Amino acid sequence: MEGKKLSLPGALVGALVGLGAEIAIREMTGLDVIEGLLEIIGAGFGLIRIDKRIYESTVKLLKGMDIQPDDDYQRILRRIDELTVDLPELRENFLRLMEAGVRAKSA
Amino acid sequence: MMIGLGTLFRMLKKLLGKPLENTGALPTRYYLHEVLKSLDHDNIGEAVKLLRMSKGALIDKSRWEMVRQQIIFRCRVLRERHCKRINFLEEEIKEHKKHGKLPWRWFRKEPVEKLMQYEKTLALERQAQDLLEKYESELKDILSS
Repeated sequence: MEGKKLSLPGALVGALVGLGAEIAIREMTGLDVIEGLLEIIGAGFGLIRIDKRIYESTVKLLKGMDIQPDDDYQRILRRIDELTVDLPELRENFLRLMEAGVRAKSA
Repeated sequence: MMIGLGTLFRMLKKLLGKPLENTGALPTRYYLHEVLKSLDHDNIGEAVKLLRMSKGALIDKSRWEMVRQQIIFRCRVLRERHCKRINFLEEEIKEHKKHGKLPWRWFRKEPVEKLMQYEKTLALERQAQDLLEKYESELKDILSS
């Protein structure tokens, strides 16, 4: 079998064409191809577990709220409300966690 | 096969992650993982820095937003904690100053040293509180910048 020859100018031309295509696509469609590719590679880096990690962090934040043992459910809710005035998504997650906790306790 | 790939990716992440971190070229999820790691250690400054770098990815926008909100929340909890300590220290300093004026306290060294310690700690607590406030407003401004 004949050995393949590597061409440096060919590689440079290829890279330039790729860059030109990337810029053209971005200009015409607004899509960032390289960023998209990096995101896919990111998923391959074992970073798919990010949702689980965010959930764990949410639980940790809730636990780290300095809740007193005699604090009742309503008081904790009020504190969550105070601290998450402009953080609606996080508030929702906290409430869901609290509800799950109460349900688990009563079951 | 999957375990092998996982190990390979982890190795690549270790090798390339840190050197490329400051370029902002890594995937958003990488930064989010690092931000959450910093948040676990209450390293808010590092978390804000890393979150700023990951800005711009469309795929993980909701996750990015959730992590941003988590940092703001932690800032508020920590600020509240510092506020409690500041109130306590202010009360203690007031008490010490009040009793320090009594004649039988003049020759005792201990209260003066204690007072200095309280004042030093109070200054540090205030500094920490200001820093957290700065980070919080920075996080709020990320969206508009």
